[in-house]
Amino acid sequence: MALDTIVDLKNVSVFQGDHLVLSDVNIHINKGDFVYLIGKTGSGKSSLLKTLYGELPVKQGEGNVGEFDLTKLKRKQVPFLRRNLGIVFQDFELLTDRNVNDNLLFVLRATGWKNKIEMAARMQEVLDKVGLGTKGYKMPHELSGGEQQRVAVARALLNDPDLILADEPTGNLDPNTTEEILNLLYEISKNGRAVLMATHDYVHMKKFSSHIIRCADSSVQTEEVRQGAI
Amino acid sequence: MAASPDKYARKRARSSAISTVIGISLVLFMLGILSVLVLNARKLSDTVKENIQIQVFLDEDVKEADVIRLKKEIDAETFTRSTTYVSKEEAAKQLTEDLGEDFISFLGYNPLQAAIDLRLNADYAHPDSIENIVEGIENREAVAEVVYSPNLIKQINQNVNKIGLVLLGFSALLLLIAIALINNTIRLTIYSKRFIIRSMQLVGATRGFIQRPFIFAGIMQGLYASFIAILLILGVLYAVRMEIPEFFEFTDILMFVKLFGLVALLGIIISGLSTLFAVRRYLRMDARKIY
Repeated sequence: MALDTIVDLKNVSVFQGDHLVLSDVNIHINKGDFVYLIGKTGSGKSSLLKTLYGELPVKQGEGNVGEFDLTKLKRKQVPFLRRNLGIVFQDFELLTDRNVNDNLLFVLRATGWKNKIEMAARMQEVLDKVGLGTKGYKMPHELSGGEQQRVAVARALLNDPDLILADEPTGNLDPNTTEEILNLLYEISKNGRAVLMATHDYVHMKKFSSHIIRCADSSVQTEEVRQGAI
Repeated sequence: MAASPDKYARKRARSSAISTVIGISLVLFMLGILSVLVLNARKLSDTVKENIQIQVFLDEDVKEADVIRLKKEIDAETFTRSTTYVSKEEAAKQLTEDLGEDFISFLGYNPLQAAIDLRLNADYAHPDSIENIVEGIENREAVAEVVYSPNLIKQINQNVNKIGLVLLGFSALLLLIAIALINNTIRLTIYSKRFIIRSMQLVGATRGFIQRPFIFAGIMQGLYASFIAILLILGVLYAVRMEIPEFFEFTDILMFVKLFGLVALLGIIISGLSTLFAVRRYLRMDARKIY
């Protein structure tokens, strides 16, 4: 596997339980890539992302994410795989029983941060990036859908991951905020990281892209795409 | 305005924690009261057994020195709790008092024998061992006859055994109920947090890291609950003592240490283990089964 390869799937079949969702998936993502994942609802976008973060097992084919072999992934390794990823979940997956700061703090502590000052600084940094610098004390249910989504993005950035998986991260955002978040993700990808983003937002897609992965009819096609950045 | 829903959520979380603690403490209270009964039943039976009297009648012409020697010998035995020497004259005096009539002047002589009243340690107050003890004493010098009531001893033993068995069965049953109830209460609490546990897993927290605060909270819950239970038990014991002072002694500190240690230990173990199992259930659960 090449040094700057982050995701490499070869002939992978994705199952939800016994049900085959996608077959013969071949995906290759390098550092610096900004990849869109498109397809109708129910076409298997989320399942593909779940495979990448170890929620669904790889039973057929070969798959690597970073240094982890998905076919040999043990339950105990899953947390460590996820630490190398920044994941923005479709339904946010915020901890509803604590405020935004404590949500971020949980992730930092769970991933081994110890120094309180460093943690506070890092939390403020990512919140500022998503434009929520003053809302750290709020409970998730006090935030709008768009704000919750931005918290989820902020949380994905905390550990400066090699790969950001985003499941419709702009689904609840207005056009202006969408653009801000996309700019943010694009910058991250240009700094030697990779972003894989499932989306329906064809308008913004034209602006930033390296290539597009399309899910349809339980298979996956990769399309190299045209114009580069802004 | 912004603070009020926050406050409400916290209040709700706290009230559910409080009702869990109260639930656990009531169960522990029941267990504690039963333990008091068990501990006291043993003491009560011991008291009854230790009051069983065995009379060792002495030979008519026994010398004072021999009596003292015999009493010392019996005192030195492990089965002996206490001995009292009752001389001929004392026995006569006692009987005169009991009858209210001076029978010696009526008879012209004292027909009573000098005796040593022997009381046994509770552990030896069993029909078989009493038979051995009696035989041993009867074969000694200066002993004329040993008198005791085997039927009474048998009956006492049988009743004590029966009561003990019933109490033991009852305790076992109550312990099972306690574990089931506490387990259920805690599972409900954890169930309400299953999505949070799942989110924690999704952001890369290890199982141990997720479990730790839950288990700590479970143990603390057990501690609080046993504290409340101990206060309740003390209240009940105090009330009982007002009514029946001889039921037990407040000065028996060892019993209380044992009792409260037991209650606290049970509370912590049951609450902590239930939490562990409940959290593990959701940590292992397939995402699609969580709903």
